[in-house]
Amino acid sequence: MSRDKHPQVTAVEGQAMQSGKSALHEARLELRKDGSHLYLFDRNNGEQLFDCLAQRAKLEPAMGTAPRRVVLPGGHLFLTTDPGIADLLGEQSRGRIQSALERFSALSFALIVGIIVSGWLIWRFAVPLGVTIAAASTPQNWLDQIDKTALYTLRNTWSFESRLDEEERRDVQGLLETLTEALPARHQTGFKLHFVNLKMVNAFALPGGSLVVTDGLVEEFGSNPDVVAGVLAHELGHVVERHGLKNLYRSAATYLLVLAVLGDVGPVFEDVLVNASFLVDLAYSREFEAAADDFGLKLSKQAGFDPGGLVAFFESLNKQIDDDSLVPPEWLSTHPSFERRLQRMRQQLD
Amino acid sequence: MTFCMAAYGVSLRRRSRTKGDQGMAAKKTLSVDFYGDAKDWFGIWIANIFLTLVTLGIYSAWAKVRFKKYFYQHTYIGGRNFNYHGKPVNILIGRVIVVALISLSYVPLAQGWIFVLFLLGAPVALVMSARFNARNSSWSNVRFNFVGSIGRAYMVYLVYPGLLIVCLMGAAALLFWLVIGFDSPRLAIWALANGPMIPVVVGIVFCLYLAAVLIYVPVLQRLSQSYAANGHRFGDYQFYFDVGLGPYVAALLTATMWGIVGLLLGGAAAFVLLLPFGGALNEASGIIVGYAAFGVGFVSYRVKVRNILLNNLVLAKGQVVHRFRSSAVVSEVLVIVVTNVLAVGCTLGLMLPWAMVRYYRYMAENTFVRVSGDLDDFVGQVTDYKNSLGEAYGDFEGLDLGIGL
Repeated sequence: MSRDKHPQVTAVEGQAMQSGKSALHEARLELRKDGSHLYLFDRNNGEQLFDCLAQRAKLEPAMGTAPRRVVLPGGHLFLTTDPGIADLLGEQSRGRIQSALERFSALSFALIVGIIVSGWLIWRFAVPLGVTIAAASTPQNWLDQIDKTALYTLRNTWSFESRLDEEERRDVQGLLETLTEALPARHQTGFKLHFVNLKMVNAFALPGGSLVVTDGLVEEFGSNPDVVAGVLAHELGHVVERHGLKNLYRSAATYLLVLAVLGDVGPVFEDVLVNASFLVDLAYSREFEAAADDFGLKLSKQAGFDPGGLVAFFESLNKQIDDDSLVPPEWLSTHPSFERRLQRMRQQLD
Repeated sequence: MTFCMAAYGVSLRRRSRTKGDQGMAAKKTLSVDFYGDAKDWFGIWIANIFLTLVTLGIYSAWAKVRFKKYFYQHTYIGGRNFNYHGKPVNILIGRVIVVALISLSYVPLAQGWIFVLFLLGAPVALVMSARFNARNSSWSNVRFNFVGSIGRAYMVYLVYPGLLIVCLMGAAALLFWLVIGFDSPRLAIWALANGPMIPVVVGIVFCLYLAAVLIYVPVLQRLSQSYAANGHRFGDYQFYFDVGLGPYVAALLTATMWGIVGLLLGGAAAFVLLLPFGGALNEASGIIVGYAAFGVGFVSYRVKVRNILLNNLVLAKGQVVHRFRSSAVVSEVLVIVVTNVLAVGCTLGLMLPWAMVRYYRYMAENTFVRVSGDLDDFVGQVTDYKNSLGEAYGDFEGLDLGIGL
């Protein structure tokens, strides 16, 4: 340890254990006048237990009210509650900064503010940036594999082969092609349409570019191309803007950050925080839905459809839910409520 | 001159007698003392979180060391404290490895293999983790150690659980067949779905499930606790632990009983809390009741298992035997945990350091060591275990032997 000036303190009393032994000695640590050597004495019998070059002694950072620990070469240990030890061994500024930062004081409350601010910055900027980079650099064949696995599960567990006839399928395929032609050139290829025999009126997109349309959707709205095109345009938005992938990365990032920040809080609190990060994920998911709605309106208009089709779709769905007890509250849902989405889209159209 | 000699002789004799008394006969019960302070820990804790966020998680390894050092260094037995020696860089590397492996499991093409790797690698990682933590813990300048074998870890954490599951499922299938008496599983499934047998089948399945849990959990808990405890060393002393299955079954039954109490209390709390909101928060009430039942059951189980461990644990070398005792009471711990959760929840987490110190202090106050002999008598190896890769980077978060301390 380097020192600038001669220490005021030349000896400190405490306790010592020799290397690897639990035997406790009442001890005194003395610094030679020229500051070059340290001597460890047993206070009871005056015996010298150990000596070494002063610079080889290591003073560990302070830890609350616990005695300061000085580790001497070979694993000998000197413990003292005398604050003079910092002066005796010329504690470096790094250790002092750490102690100042960790002391309970007005600074602690400044740190609370710091945590809120940096947490917000991370949530708003760092995580989205990292997620965007990761999503952009994910190879296409990984995405194809995700699609393949998801479609396999879908076909073998949830549903049977679609009962739509060739003509119905060709109509939807035609709508998709009209929409993709309106996309920027680099996004025009790579989409594949899949039909599944599910009663629910829905469509969804997989990250690799697979668009899944249920029989329910075509049966209900097949006669109205604007509606089907609007729904497809919304799903295309998810694929083009890589929402699925971003969701995956985002939830992984928030989960890791929560674990890093509160690694050792015990089982109950960890659960609460993991669930809280799940709620944050849902908030992001709702943001993506709104973004896909905007995308859908714009794309269907560019492709020559009536953008009101998507609005009509949600109006129809909204009418079907009379019993609101079945719908979870918005904060527990991956999608914004129909009312909110409709309100937003009507504003966009005006 | 003669006088001086005599005085010296007397003092020598007295010294050696005191030494002898301590060495052979002295039997005293020492409490574990915790001198941590919520305010001090709050200062360190808030600095930990701030630095972890600012460094995007990297400081978390340093934070972990600060956390462990704070609680270890403020825990005393016989006036001497513990210490934690783990190096942040090694913990960071361990964490990077874990995160990399978990990320790999998201790579679609590698998924299957990663799962096999996790399963086969888990016992090795467990042993490495236990070694890392034991070797980096000390009391009075003497280190702990963990010497449990990897082969045995495979048996305890992989083979026995697997065999037990197979046996229990086989027994269930046999019983099913004997009671229902159908010739083929297909018919049994049909009966389950359509027949008038549904209540009977559900009843049987439920009883089988209960029986399986009642066998599975205690057997495995006993195996893992015994493996973990017997594998630990302190200096040249060895930990010994041996107990029958009975206490574990009792612990599980007690925990179940407390779980039911938690269910009722949680239900009452949910009813009172959510009454003003009508039916709008049905999900929330479900969550409250679920957490109350499971949380209360889990906490009481942990307390019971901890008591089993400490009350049957011995630290010995030759004729010198130190014993341990735990006097933690489930109802007292539950009061502490429930009020902790409420305090932390109401202050958006700011009371967490206080809650941690309070819980830790209760556990320390209810732990005793019955020392027979001398606290100065422990001698350990002076090895710095940092050269071998496995031992340096063995701190894998969330992996522990199930020792239940």
